[in-house]
Amino acid sequence: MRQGRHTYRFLFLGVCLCCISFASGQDEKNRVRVSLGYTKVMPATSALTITAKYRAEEGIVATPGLDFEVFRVLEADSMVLEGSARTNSEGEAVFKLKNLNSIQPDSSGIYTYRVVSLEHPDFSEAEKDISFREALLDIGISTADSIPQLTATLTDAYSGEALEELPLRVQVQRLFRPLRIGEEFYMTDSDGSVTVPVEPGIPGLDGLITLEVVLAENDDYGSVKALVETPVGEPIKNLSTFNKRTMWSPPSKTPLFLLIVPNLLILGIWGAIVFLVINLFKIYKSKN
Amino acid sequence: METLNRHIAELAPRKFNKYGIAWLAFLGLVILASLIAYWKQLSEGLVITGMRDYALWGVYISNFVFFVAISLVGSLITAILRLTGAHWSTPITRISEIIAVAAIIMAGLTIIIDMGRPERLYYLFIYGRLQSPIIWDVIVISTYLVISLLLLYYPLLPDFAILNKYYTKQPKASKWYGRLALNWTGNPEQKKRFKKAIRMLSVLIIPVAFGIHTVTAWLFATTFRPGWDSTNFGPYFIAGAFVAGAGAVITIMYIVRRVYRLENYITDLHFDRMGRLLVLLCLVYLYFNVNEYLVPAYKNPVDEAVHLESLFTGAYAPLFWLVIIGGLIVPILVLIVPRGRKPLPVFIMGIIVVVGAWWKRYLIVTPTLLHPFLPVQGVPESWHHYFPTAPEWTITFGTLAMALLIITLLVRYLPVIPIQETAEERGIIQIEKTKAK
Repeated sequence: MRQGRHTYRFLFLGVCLCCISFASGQDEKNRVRVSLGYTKVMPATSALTITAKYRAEEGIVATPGLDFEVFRVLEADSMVLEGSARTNSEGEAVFKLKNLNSIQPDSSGIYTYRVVSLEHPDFSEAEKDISFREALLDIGISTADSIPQLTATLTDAYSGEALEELPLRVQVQRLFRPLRIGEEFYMTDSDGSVTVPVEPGIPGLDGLITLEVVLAENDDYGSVKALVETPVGEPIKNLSTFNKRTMWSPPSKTPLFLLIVPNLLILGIWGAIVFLVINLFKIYKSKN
Repeated sequence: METLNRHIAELAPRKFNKYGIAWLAFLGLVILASLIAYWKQLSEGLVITGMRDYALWGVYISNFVFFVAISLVGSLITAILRLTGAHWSTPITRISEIIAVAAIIMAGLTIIIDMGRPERLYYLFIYGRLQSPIIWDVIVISTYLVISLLLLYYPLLPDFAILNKYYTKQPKASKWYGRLALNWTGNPEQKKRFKKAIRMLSVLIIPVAFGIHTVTAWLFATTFRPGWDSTNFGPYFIAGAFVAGAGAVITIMYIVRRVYRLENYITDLHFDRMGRLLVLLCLVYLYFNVNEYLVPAYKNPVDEAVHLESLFTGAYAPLFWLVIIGGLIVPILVLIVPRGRKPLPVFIMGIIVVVGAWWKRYLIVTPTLLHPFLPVQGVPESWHHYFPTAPEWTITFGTLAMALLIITLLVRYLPVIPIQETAEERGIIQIEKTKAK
């Protein structure tokens, strides 16, 4: 008898637990993992890259369509709303920052931003901070022994000090991915500079090539990139028909013969049709 | 005057009898079913069809090419025979014009059905490139539709004026025919303008009609695929279109003759002449078929060989040989003998030719798409094959029913045989004038 009473209690407890777990399962949202990156393209383009992912049954996957608000964190821990961004199908959002030259960093020259995800039916709210210093990367082209050389100098924008012993990549801008020049990276010297000879024979339209110097994903400064277009490449002829009138061009670049001949035919035939319609009207009017 | 009145009474539009109403109800039901299927297609998308990445054109495009082919008959019977002075064809000109109008309207609608998203039609006009044969097709179809309507309407002016007077006891009908007659009295100026317009239309429609079918052929020929890669496709399509159109005219003229008892107007002579014409057209089309298949079969490049094998001995062989033998060779053999050119055999051959012409378009479109130059691999098994789904068939039958409905309604409300023209050719008007004097 006593044993039977225990059985009922256990059954009641089991049902309650099932109900609780079912109810909590209904409200359970996926936890979003947010990562932040800072990128600067000289002279004044700065952006935050927000990446949102979550753990699904098939592993870690992108979180598309998630809205974020971006705040600038001030020294007194107050925040200023800078704007909002939404992740794309890859779970990424790029938020362009205001020109940092017009914004005062904190007393140690650090900028801090916070991104906060907005309410979403499937994902729990998440936030992430990023702090970085502003770096300046100046590049120029010079010639030594008739070999063109690229010189890049990296300095801290707040203190003006040269940044030494930091790795810089030198590469040529290409359509799909950059073409690296020389070694994998060059360490800046005590002046924060690197000097890299530009190899001859790099093809470019009319000899123009765009050289890039990149400080990649630095803990303090984020990613910093500077570009310079210079006529030190091997001139090649532009074989692209992009600006020409071809059979595969958009409507604005239809070949002239195809514009003239069919349109003349169309005009001729529709002219005759208009004449025939007017003729009907004249028949209507000439009843007597 | 009595002769003329009898002539008008015989040719004036008549109300449907019970069979006519039953026919209309049947067409209405088919169209209703197709509209439901089309609604399903609009809601769920083209995924409800059998079309996939490879067979991206299916029964809709076959049907479109068929309609374009049928529409060519307007230029054949009305323009070519008129310009060559073949007056025997006068009683069947109106039928061919009606068929042409119905077919070209449905050709345009079929393309919209095939698009899947009809509300995007205007993209063609906004973003269309003049380099694309699809734009040429849009232009030439709309042009041909307008010319076909004018070619149907102009010769009707004197007939509308006659019907305006004839239906005095039916004021509503009389009023409508009067409005459509555009004050036609047959005065010298009107006649002069009328003749000039008819001559102009007869000349104008021929290049446009050839254009519409050549451009439709180019939709295929400008695409690099086995079975379509031919410089001969334009004339090949035109020859096939004449066959289909002539078959359609024969079929409709037989039914109209039976239903309206027009044996005095659509005589055995017309069936004999149309039978002869069909033999000639079938022979020309057969010649083009030999050309289309023999040359690639002789050279036999791998991709063409796979395609031709599927037609000659493969999955499509029964249909292919049925179309070639049943739809072309048998009509030639039957119609070449005088006994075969009696109305009933000609009518049966006409139906066979039309059905064969429809399946011929299916064979032009589908097997080629399933044999691209790059082999079909790494895709679901179902993508290797194509056969229309039930909604596709329903919609297709709906378009055919709509074409028949347009023809039926035009036959109901228009004089199916030109009243004025036949009266002039038979000398009835001359006799009445002499009597009056």
